[in-house]
Amino acid sequence: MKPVKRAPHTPDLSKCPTGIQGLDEITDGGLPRGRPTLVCGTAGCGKTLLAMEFLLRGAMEFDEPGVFLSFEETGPELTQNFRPLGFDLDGLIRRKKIAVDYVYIDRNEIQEAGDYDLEGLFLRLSHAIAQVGARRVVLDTIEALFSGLSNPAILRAELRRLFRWLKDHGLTAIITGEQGEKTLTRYGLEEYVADCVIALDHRIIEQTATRRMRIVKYRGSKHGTNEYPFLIDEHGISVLPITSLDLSHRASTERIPSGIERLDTMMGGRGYYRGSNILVSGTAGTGKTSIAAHFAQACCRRGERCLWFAFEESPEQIMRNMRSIGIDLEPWVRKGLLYFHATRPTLYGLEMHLVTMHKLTQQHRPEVVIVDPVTNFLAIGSPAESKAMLIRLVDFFKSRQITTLFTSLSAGGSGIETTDVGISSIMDTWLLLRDIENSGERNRGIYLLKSRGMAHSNQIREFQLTNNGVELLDVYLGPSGTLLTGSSRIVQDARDKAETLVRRQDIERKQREIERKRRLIEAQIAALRAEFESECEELNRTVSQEELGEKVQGQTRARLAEQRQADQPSAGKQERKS
Amino acid sequence: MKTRSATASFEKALTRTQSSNYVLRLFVTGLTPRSVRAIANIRKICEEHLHGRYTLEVVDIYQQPTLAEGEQIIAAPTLIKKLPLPLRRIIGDLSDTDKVLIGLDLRKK
Amino acid sequence: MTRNPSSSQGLHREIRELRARLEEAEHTLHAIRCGEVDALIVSGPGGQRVFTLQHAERTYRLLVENMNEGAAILTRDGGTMYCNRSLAALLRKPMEQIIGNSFLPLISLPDRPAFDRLIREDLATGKALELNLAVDPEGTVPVLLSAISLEMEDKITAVCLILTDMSAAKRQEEELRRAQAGLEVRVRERTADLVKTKEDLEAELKARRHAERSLRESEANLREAQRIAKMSMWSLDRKDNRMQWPPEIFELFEIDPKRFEATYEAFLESIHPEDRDMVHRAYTLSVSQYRPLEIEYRLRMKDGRIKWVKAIGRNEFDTQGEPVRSVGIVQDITERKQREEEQKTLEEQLRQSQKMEAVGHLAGGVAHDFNNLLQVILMNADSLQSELMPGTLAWSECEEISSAGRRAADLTRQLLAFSRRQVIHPVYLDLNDLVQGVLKMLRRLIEENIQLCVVSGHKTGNVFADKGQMEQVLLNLCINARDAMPKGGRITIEIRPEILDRSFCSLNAWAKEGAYALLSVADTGAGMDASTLAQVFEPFFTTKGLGKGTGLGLSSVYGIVKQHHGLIHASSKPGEGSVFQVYLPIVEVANEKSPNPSQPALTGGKETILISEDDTALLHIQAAFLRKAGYTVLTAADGLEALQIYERNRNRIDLVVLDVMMPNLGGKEVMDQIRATGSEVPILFTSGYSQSGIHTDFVIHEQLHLIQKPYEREVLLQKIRQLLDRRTVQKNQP
Repeated sequence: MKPVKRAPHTPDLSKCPTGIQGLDEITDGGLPRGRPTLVCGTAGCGKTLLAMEFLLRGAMEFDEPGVFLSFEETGPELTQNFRPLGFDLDGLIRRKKIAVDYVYIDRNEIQEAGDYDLEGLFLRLSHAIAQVGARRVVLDTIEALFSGLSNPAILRAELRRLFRWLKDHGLTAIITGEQGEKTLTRYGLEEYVADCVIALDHRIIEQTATRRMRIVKYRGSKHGTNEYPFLIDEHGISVLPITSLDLSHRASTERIPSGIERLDTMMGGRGYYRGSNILVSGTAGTGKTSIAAHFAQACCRRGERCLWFAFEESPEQIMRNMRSIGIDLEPWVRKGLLYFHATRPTLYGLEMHLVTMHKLTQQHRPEVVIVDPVTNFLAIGSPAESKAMLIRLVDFFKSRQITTLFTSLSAGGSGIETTDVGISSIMDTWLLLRDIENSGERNRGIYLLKSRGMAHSNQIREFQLTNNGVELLDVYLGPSGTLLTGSSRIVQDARDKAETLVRRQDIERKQREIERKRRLIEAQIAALRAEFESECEELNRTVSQEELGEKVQGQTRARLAEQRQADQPSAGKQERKS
Repeated sequence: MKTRSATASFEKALTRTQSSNYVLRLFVTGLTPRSVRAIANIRKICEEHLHGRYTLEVVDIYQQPTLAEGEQIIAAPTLIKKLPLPLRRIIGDLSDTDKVLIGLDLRKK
Repeated sequence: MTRNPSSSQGLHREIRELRARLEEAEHTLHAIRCGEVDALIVSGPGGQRVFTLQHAERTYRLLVENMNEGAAILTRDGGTMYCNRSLAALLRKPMEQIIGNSFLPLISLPDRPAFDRLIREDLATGKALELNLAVDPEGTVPVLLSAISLEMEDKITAVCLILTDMSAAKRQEEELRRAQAGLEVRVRERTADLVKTKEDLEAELKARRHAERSLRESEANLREAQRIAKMSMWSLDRKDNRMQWPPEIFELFEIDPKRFEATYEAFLESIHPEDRDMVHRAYTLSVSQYRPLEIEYRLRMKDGRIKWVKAIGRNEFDTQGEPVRSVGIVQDITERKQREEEQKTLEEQLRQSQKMEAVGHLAGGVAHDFNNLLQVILMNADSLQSELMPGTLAWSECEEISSAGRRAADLTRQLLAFSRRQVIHPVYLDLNDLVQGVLKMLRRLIEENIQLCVVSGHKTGNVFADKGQMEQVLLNLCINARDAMPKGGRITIEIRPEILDRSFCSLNAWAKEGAYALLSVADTGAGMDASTLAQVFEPFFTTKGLGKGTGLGLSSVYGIVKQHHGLIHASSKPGEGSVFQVYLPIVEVANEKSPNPSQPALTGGKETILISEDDTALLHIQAAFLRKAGYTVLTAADGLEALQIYERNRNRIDLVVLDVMMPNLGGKEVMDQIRATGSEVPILFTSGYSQSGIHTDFVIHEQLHLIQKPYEREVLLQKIRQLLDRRTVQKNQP
């Protein structure tokens, strides 16, 4: 016999995927197939939507037609409610993918006079199921029966029969139930549905509406136990698991440049690991966004996509500011490589951001994500919530091999990093930007606090925001051995330069003196030679004077004088004159 | 002439419907004891209380499921009093005659 | 939370267990209620006891719902508790109207007492009854009704009914009965048949005896009939090759029986030589292929006459398949054959005349367009020429243009003639006079080697015809005859009266009954074959060499003759020459010769002429020409303008020249308007070709004056002068 691999969950329990984003993840594959699932919660928590989306996605994505037995809303009302979510309920009904039956119960119309059963309901359900060949059923919400009919004994017996009937027919069902005072459901539906119970919740926390989902029970299956925030937006429900269920994402050894050459040098000359995350923290105005912009630009230059969540500034503002330091991001935006998503963090709840980031990430499939600044958005929830969320986010990006750069704004004065410390524990690389005060000035320093899995420089480097962007300067150790930055550095420089200048002037002076002396000697030699020649000529002249006469002698002497003038240095000439 | 006679007959029909005629529809499930009881009970009640001024139809929803859908039938048996208005549903095997009579507005509560 | 966990837990457990048991009990109870449990097994002190539930019939439900028989459950008082689909179908009634109501009304009236009795009886063992169901509207369905009592819950005793539709069975029974009855009827009928057959046979026998008697008589009759039908019986003994011919055949073949050795070969001899082979083949084939013989062939009589006969025959064979004898009839079908031939000829001629008609329309249309063009060419050429010195090169060239233009004008005139679009001025005339008048010219046209014979002098009566056109006809025919005899020969012109009667017309499609003057032109030339003859009147069809003939001569003859309501017929055979016959209807009017108007001198004048013409080029050249001739000319571009100008200058204007076809107002309308004012001013029309001009059917009326475009300038001048002079004469005669 072949060795059987240990299955991750009960092998005989087959799952029915809901197609709802995130829900299948936290239920490890979907709802229990062929069994009813109870979805309960307060009014307006999204039960009906979840149930309907389960049916619609079943019909559209898994070719499993479904029946929606509605006790609360009529068919047209349902159609209307689901149209804004992009679901064409009517079309599916026309194509016999979905059947909707509205069960109308009005207590006032009903008089009970003797024994009865709910065979009418059974018949209608089975008729609807037969009509579309349904594999999925939603009963929303069956509790309406309790308010409409007064004999609980019959109701309970019939409900039990109903759930057994659903099971016998292999239908995957969602039964919705209103939350009771202390019980999960007002009429104790959970007693009948033993397989899977999902509770939905809708609370206002710190003025932010938050929807949560919890798997109360899932018989025989692994499932996440946390409260998962979920969101209802124009595409239906999105559920976000707090952490990914496993940490088995691939760690890449590929490096990608940070966009700042000398910063790469600090990291062994090669930049960040792909798929890692980088925290750039610092107080206001230390240049966090500039570092991020360098990274974004480098990413786009490689032809990779970058998604930039801007929580503080508008894209225009960022681009304008970056342009002032010579980084032009606009072409990349135009090319579609760089996508800004700017929101005020407080506009939405925490989970909304998460969902948005999830969605945008799935939409744009970036290689690099920038969250600027992560602190703003952590401020929405409690520190614990924020951290949990961040972990989810980080895991999410990691699992997709996305390199993420978070900027973090440290509150000025509050020492470093009280908040940062919390975040930094989940970060692979931490760049700390600091103001360094010396000689009464503030200057920028960059400090690579940690970088997992690589040798890195641990020196503080000064950097400047120049017209060409961030420039890291040479490491400079002053005479006292402390890091010299700013004008004190320039004074030192100037002093050095002055000394050099003096020294050079000395040398030049000496060189000029030597030259002068050389010329002097040469002039003397030339004068001596001229003297010698003139004496020779005088001798010759004496000889020929007798032969040539007075006139010729005069001309020769004049030419000689000219020759002499041209050849003699001025000093010599002056001397001669004087 | 014609108009007058048509109006007259309409009015006559109206009077008849309003004052006397009961239109009842009973939905049962085949031959289950409850169904049989319900039929027997309603027949008895009708003969005793509505003699000559009722129409009774009995629908076996096993055999005519589509009729159940339009009538919003949940429970079986269900007796629907279609006329006179208001519409009323009486569910159960109709063994509680008093309640049936109340439901049919034949007795005050 | 709880202070005493152990006891609390115990309590919880107990509650859970109890709840589970309660649940189970509820469940079971419900299942029983729903009829989903067929049996209950209860374990007790007395061992296991099995309780089968009396009404647990969930499975049976489907059976009942779907069975073919109708099923119903009734209470003892006849109320319907249940009904299945089949029963509703059987009753043709919605199910919901059956359940809950009394069943009795569903039984047909006569059967109700029996039914009522039945359901009140003791039905423990079941009973059956045949009865009819009442079915809307007013129908019945026969059923077999089985009833059995049924103990229901709460001690209600019910009756279970099963109803089997018997209508099919009944129908079959009925059919069987009907079939039996039918059989009996047929036996009776057959007996009657036999009796009748016997009677018939006797009658037939009697009749046959009578027939035998009359046969002899009828044989004689047959012979007579055959004789009338020109039908004769023949036989050929294949063994000794003898033909058996009755006298009628000898008569038909025009052979003396005494001199005829009646063998097959001799028979073949009597057949037209061209058909002999064919006849022999047919006889042989009919024998070898065992086919009846049917054949039509010709006989040639001694005097050359042709007779058509039809032979029908069949062959008799012996047991070996050898031919023994051939028998058949032979029938004279000469007349039928002739009729067929005539029919064919008539059809051919009809087709031909239709073709001519179509070509004529086409030719006429083209000719019309030419006329305006030619008028401009001719007038311009003449005008130019008059400015030049005669004898110069330019003058000669102008002459060339003019003569070419005139030739073209002739051509179009002939085309128009052919298409019968030429306006004619018919007068009463005698063709004899006409021929005499043209003879001189003819002699000039015809070469020495051709002899011209004129057979005239027969009094024919007058015809109503355009003299010029008729001359044209004669001329063209003679020229055609001349051209057919390049090596010389004889042309015979003959004029004689001819009456075409019905029998002639029935054989000649081109002919029309009536009295005619016949002008015939015969030549002794090469003649024409049938296909050439068929095309001889088509325009541009010519047998003459390229450039020698226009192909319009005979076409225009044809057109002219047709326009004169005459007939023309050509007959010819290769080597036998051709004859063209022109028939013109005779009009019984006293011979009143139209006086030949004297040709006025070719001069201009000082009068004022209003000229209206929509062709601007033509208008200008005309005006210029008339001014040059001394006239004062007013011009108008259309009829309306002409009328306006005339209104303003009516005292000045001496003559109006109007184009027949003009926009806004046609020439005829202008004339009518002018005449309406009481003015008698002479009006001259010019016309190219027109469908709806001033004339009716292209025959111009006496008072109207028209010159046909293209005309020569001189003609215009002459006509104008003539009209002006006549006016002067009229004016002078108060």
